[in-house]
Amino acid sequence: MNQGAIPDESPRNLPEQLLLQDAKAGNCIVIHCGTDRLLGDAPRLIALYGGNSEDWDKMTSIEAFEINGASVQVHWFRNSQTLQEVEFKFKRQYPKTAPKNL
Amino acid sequence: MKIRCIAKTGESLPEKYIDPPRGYTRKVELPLTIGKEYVVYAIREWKGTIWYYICNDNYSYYPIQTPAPMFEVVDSRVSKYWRFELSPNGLLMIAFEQWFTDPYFYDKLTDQEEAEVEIFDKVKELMDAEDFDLPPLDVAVDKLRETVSV
Repeated sequence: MNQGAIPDESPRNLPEQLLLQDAKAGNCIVIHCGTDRLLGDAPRLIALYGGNSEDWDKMTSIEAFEINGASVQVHWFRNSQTLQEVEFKFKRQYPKTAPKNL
Repeated sequence: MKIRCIAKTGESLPEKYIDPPRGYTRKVELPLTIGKEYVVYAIREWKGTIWYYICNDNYSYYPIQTPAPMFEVVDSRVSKYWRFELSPNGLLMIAFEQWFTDPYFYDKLTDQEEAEVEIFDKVKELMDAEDFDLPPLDVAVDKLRETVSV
């Protein structure tokens, strides 16, 4: 497992840049509350940025843009006590290939 | 279990659901369609708030928790794939088996890990097609008695 800080992922194009800006502006919701179950990254986040395990939530952009055939969202970690936000990354989901008609 | 969306903004939510650090403000607008029905894949109860895990209008590979007051229940029959867990911290979860067998299942799913995405794909397919029709009580009990009678 990666023990170091994971740098923010850079947007690949203008729509991704706009999506990231929108998410950072507050158009976001929690995916996974640290109070529920420990995030796999929680020990690393605490070691790097401080806080307690229940403070760290996983967030997502509310918007999901279709970009180059993929549905794209932004995910990151937020400390719900300090509101520190770290490790922004893009989640690109491409449509599944249709099963072959045998 | 199926629910129908009746609201999609934070304005509709009871005060206990408002949690700005987690994005739930009065102004939040979720990607839902009022009047549309959604299948519930899991349920979470935390400190008096109930959340349905659904595939909202931006669904790509994982269900996301959504406040229950934004919906009305249109089919209250529960899935045969569901399991129940009450955690020591008071969190109540109802979800499919794989959610509980690996404590990091949902974390991995939302991280887009291939194995967990594939599992949810399969669970979703099964739950979307789940047949809830049961025979009438008398027919069911007669059938059972035929099976167990010597």
